[in-house]
Amino acid sequence: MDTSALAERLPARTAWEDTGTVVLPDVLAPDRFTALAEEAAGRLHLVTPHVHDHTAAHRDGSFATPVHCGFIPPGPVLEQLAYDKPLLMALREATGIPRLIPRGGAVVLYRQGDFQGLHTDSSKSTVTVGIALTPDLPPMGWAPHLRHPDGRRLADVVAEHGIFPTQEPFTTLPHPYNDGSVRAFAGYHFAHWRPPLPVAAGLLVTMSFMDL
Amino acid sequence: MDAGTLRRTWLAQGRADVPADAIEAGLWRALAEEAERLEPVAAVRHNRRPGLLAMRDGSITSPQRCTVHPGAEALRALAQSKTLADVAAEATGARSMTAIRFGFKYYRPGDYMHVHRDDGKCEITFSAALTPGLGSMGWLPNLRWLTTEEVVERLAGTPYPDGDVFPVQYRALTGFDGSRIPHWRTPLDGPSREVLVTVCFTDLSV
Repeated sequence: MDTSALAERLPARTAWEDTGTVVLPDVLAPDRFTALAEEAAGRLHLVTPHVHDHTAAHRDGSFATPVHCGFIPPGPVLEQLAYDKPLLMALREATGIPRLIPRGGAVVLYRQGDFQGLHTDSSKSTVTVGIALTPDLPPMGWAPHLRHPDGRRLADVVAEHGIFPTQEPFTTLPHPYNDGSVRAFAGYHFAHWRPPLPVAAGLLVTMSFMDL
Repeated sequence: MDAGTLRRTWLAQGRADVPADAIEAGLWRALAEEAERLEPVAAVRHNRRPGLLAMRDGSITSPQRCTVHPGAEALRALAQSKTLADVAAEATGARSMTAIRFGFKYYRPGDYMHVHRDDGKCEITFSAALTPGLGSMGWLPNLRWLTTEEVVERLAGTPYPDGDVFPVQYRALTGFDGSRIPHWRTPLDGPSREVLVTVCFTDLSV
C-alpha cells in the first residue's frame, strides 16, 4: 500500500492547516455561558500563580517566553464542557481532524498588567478553545505567517519584535463574548501571546484537544 | 516488583519491566490469534526516504519496512489494561496514562527499521514478541537526553549503530523511552516472519 493516499484531506482540514483558527457558531448556549462565568467567579480563591521568567525552546517543538497570570482549576461545569460530545464533534468537523480527543480545561485569570509572552503550546495541544468570560478581554496576539515555527525561528522573532509583536503581518484574534460561538486555534502550530492586561481583570476559559 | 523499583529503573535506564503476571495467559493467546487473523489485511509500511529526518516534535524518522495493523478486540483489551496503565504511570511519574497508539508489526525476512526516535507524544512504549524468533532490538540509552539535532548529527551515517541490546521478550512486555532513546532493528535474519505487539501511552492531563 502506498501511504501517500492517506494524506487526502477534507477542505476543513486544508483551511485549518492554512489559517490555524476557526470560530465555531452555536456551540455555547447562553445558560451554559452564564453557568461557566458564575462557576469561575466562585472559584477565584483557588487561583495558583502561573509565572515564568525564562525563554525556552522545548524538545517537543514548543516555545516559551515569560508569562505572569493565574490558573483556576476547572469546576464541574467546565469539566462537562471540556468533555462535551457535541462540542467535540463540532470541533472535529470544523478543523477536519477526525481523531481529536479532549484533554481538559482551566480558567486563566489575568489581573491588570498580567501577560503571556509569545509562545507555542505543547505538542499535545493540537487545538485550543478559548472562551472569554469577561466582556473587555482584549484580543490575543497572533502570527498567521509563521506556520510550525521552531525555537530558532521564534527566538529570531523575539530578537526583532519582542515578546508582544504588533507590526503587520502580526495580528490579533478576538474572542467572541457570549454570542454562542467559541474561538478554536492551533496553539502548537502558531505562535500567540497576550500583552499586559490594560483593565482590572480578565477571565479566559481554555480547553485543550489532542490529535491522536 | 514495587513501584519504587519501576520508577528508579525508568529514571536511570529509560526502561520498565512489566511484571510477568500483569497480563494473563489467555490474553496473550487471543493476541497471537488476532495477529494471525488480521495479517492478510495489514498494511505495508515502507518508508524509503534515505537518512534521518528531524521533526519539530522531537521525533526522528528514517527508512523502515514492515507490515502493520492497529488490531481489534484483543489488542484493545491490552491497550485498556489498567495494570499496564498503572505501570506506565508509576514508571514515568505521571498522574495517569492513556494508551494512544497500538498495533501489530509483522516482520518478514529482510524487514528492518533504521535508527529513529518515536513520535514525541509517546511517553512510554511497551512491546512484546508474539512469536518466539523475533530477537532483540538495538538501542542507545546514552543518547536519551541529547537534543534532536545532536542525535541526527551523531547517527546520520549509521542506520544500525554500534549500541546496546534491548530485550524484546516473548509474551512479556517491556516499556522504554522510545521518543528519547534512539532504537532500531537490523534486517530480520531467518526463514520465518515474526510478530511484535506495541502500545504507547501518554499523559493527557493539562
